Amino acid sequence: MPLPPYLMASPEWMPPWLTLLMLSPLIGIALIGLAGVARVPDRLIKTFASTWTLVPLMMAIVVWVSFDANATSSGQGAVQFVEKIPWIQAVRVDYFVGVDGLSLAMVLLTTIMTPIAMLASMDVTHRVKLHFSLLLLLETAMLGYFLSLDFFFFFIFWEFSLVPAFFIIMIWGGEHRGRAAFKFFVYTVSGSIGMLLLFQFLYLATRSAGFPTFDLIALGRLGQGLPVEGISGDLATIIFNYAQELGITAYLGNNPLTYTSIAFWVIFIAFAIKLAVWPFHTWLPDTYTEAPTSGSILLSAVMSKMGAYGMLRILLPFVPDAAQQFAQVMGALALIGIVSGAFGALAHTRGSVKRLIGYTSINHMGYVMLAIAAVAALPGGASLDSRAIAVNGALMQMVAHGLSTGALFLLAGALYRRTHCSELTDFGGLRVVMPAFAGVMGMAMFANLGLPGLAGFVGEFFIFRGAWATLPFFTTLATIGLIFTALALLLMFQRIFLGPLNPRWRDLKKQDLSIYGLDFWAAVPLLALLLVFGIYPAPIMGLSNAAATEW
Amino acid sequence: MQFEMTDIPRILPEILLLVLGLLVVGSDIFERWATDEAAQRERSHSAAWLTLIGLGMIFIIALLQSGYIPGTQLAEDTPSNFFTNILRNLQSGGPNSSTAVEPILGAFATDHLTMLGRLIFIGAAFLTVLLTFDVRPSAHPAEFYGLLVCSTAGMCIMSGASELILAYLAVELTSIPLYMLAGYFRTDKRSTEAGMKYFLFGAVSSGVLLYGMSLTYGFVASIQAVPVDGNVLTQFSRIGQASNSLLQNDQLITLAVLFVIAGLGYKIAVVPFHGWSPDVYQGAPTPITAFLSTASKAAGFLLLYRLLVTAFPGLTGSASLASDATFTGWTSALALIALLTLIVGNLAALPQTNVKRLLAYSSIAHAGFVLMAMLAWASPQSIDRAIGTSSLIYYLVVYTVTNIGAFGSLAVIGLLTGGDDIKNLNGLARRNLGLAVLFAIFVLSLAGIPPLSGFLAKFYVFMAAWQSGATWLVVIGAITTIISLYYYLRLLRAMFMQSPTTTEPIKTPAAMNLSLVVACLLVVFLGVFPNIVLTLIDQVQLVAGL
Amino acid sequence: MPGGHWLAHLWAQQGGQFNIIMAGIALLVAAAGIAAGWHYSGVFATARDPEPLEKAQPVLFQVLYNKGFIDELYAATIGQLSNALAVAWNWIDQKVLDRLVDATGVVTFLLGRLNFIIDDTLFNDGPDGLANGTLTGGKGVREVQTGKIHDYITYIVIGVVVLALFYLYGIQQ
Repeated sequence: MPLPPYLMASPEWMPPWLTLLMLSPLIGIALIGLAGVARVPDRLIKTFASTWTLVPLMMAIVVWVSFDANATSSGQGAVQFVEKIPWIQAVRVDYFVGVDGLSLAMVLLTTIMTPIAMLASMDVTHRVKLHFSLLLLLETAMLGYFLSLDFFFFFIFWEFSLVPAFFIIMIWGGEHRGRAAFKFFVYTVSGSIGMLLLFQFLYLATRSAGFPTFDLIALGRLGQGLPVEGISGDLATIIFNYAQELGITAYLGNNPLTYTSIAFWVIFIAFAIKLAVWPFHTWLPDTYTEAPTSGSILLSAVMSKMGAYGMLRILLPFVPDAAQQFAQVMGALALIGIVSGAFGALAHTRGSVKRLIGYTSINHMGYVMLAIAAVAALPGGASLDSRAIAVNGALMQMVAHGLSTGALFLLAGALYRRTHCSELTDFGGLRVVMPAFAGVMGMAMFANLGLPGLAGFVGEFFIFRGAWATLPFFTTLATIGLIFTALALLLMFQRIFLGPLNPRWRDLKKQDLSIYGLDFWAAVPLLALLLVFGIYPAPIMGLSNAAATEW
Repeated sequence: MQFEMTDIPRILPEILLLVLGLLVVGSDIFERWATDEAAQRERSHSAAWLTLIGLGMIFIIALLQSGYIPGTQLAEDTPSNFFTNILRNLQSGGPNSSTAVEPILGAFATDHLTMLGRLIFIGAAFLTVLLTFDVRPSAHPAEFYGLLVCSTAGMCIMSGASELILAYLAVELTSIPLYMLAGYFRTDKRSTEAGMKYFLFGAVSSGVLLYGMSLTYGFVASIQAVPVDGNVLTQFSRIGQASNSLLQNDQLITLAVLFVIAGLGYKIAVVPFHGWSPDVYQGAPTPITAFLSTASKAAGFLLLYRLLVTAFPGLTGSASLASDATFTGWTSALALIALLTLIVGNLAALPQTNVKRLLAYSSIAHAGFVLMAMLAWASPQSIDRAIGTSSLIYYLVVYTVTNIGAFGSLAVIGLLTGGDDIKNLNGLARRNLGLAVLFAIFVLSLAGIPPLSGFLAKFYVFMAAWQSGATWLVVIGAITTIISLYYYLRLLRAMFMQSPTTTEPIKTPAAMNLSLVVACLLVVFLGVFPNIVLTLIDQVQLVAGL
Repeated sequence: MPGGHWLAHLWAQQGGQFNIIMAGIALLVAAAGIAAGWHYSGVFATARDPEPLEKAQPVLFQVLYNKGFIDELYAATIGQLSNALAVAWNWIDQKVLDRLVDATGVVTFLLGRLNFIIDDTLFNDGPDGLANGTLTGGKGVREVQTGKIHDYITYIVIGVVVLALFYLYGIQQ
């Protein structure tokens, strides 16, 4: 079918690259299954699965290299490598995948973090094949989520990603894993059901306007008042007209903003739960704490970004007027999240390591939320600069936080494996026996707390710069979060590595990180990327510039 | 209007089913009748094989007749040879032929709705027979299978009946064998109890149904201007004309509709007509439970749908709460029943400790979702109604496959672990990973997790209810979907997380395995490639409506 | 500057001019400090010698020695405050918000339990138990159902009657 100018198909000679990218982990699963039938030893399967994850990574890099970051068309950054095939004609569902600057960064993050999660689960001894298959399945689900541009598939992958995550937590998790997995699953699904209903409403509304669609790009353009072939008017009007047709206006009044506001809150809550925005964050500390290392890594590094990505992809373009209306509320929630995350982390400086890192995640996701609120406050026009800065900042923060939190969870897992302790009060002075470990973890921690020169700083700097223009009050107060997260993380470092050596760990010397160890090689690429992006953030920022400046 | 020779191909599947039923019972005479275990097993297996092959052949014949497989629908100018002649004769009774427009004698429609119904029921019966292969043999195996086939024939007639008397007879033809099947294990207290309870409940419901039907007939006959020969006034289309001509709602016809809904309510097990189902599902032999909860329920829905849509189009009303005047007609009654069903079904499933009973409540809850699809008829636009019909049939197909799989897995588990409490599921993944994964897929599909077909079915049904204006019901449906996650996840937790009492691996019998794998493939396939079956279902609008 | 072209106007503004007087003063002050230190270093013969300032100005010495008690002041105010806040946030988080989330789940289960009691126990097990009690050990399974089926049929009757009343009289015709 002919594509509108803002959708660019991949070059003729290319196979359906994104579909293959999405399916490549599934092929890995099939191969693991075959290996299982052939009774290949678990050790080889571990090696194989970890190596296989390089395939999606390579494929993603190919996309990255051939991606044209400057392509814009019809008022938005062009969506590239588009594949669009009718799937369910009855409800006009298309199989529609493509990447733009936003999703490409997330795809790269996913493909980078999955090998790391695999390396982190090398010590799994219990149902190895299942564990690695589930990790691959989770990768497919996450890639599918970031690549899909039709709501139907978007939602399928959104929900389906919960299933492997649920089993990973449920089978290999900590002591209270059952409760945590349940809460995580049910909470997320309950949030997203509203969104599902809303999209059905949107479909029916666009149908009554003569253009039934689940196409996220088309709906996003309608929301921003950009032209879409086959339909006129903007999304707010379409929604309002349909509400009038249904007779809802008799109850809720004749203000179109009422209806877009309802849509706004429904979408917001669905994604806010995943992003762990205050007060929807309570599942997060439990889940991160109880999940096995690989689960914590993927959950914190990639899955929580699914919420932010959804907000950027759906919430802001669809209902810009309502988003502007509630930007201050979002900003306030972001601020509370930032502060409460920081203090939450501070309260656990004598508690569990993973829980502390979990709370800092709430804090960092608060910054992302702040950036999104800042973008929402200024839809188009007036100050494109600040908008673009905030979007870029959010994206950078998502990538940087993914890498640094992934590294922290990885190292926390490694530390647990060495000591079988997770309470901060049990450690002390480990630097004496494990200097290399302390160095690596220190760097991950500094990247996480936003030390200049590492990627975390770039994200936070851009977010504060971008948010300052529109939400100065919240931005000022949010700096409190910066200080106290830093304090909490430094205290964590102090409790583990500094001070007098706890005599329990005198024999730990042999287990320091070495360049022959897997833990080291799992952490190094993350730290290297954090350093590179900290000094030269263009590879990530450049991606989203077109997408960010245009809309 | 007269019955003609050319009408025989139109009812060929039903005729074949009846013949098969008689054949299964009759051929039992030639078996070795002995009381020892081996002989009983032999007898039971030969009856099962005969039924299985017969049902398979009838399924293929029905499929050929339907012309649903791409390429099998003959064009007008296809040259004659041996095969095309057979196919042409078959398809002359199929849903695509010109004769299918008019019901036989005004009583039995052979349109796409009937055809899809037949395929669902025969397919379900086929999978059920596969599940029964390794259940302990009883003294009279042939009767077991014969009754199953008779009941299937009854269901096919239910889906095609377009006249009150035939509809009633079909309901009875379906139900009476099922009463016996539910109580088939005579020596098992629970099974006997189930059969008896089902029978008593069914008898009362039949009474209610008959009462509704007689009220309907009385109403139609009483408003005719000129006296009409009585036996055509029970046809749905005639009732439809009469109820359409009403200027305002008549209390008599309102009562009649309510009684009909209440009478059929027991077949589809919706609240408050659901009382029998948890007990019966729990007591009946598990493969029969699978059959009861799927095919029998689907047949009830198809009959209810055809009846309400064609006989009471003037009383459709709407379930919308937009203003006081809009909440009327049978759609609103169905919406109220759906509301109760969703709430009671899902909440009652929460505290269950027996998986069979839990799944029984879950299937009650699913009936509520199916009812939501029927609400789409509230909109006068054919495009909205089309979505309602497709979502109804898609849900029924998906639900049938999924629930047969779920109860089938449970039958295996019950057979191998000796019980069907949740604690029997403990650590199943470690004893038989394949079975645990299959069961998990069925359960996740029931819970509506994408990309399994249960998700799309719910998605579709919600959409149908949305556009009918029953927003409140959609919201309740969404909330109860979340509630349902609790009990579905409990099953997963037991299988994958709890440690088993014994790690001894268990082995699934081959026939049951086949049935489960087929069901599982369908569950995944229908979810990932829904277009294929939805194009078939979309044809239903052409005739079924009126 | 890749990735930051929109920052151009921010970074392109005029930088401060080099001011010789300011620089000179700063340099002088620094040099004076070094000179003073050099001068007084002769007071000490070894590193263990007592500080002459300690005798001359004990208060001043203590203040200087403890860096103006800034740390202590900080610990007593901001430090204490942030600790208290951390504890408070944590309390709100775990005791209020999380409880709310859990409570929703608990309420759902309670509803389920209530429903179960009404549906199964009150209507079902009550008569069941009664019948079981009277028929202990007997083979009369038949009579066990009478109690139950009774109730089920009562459901139908109630259901139909309520629906009929609603549709005949409840709805405005």
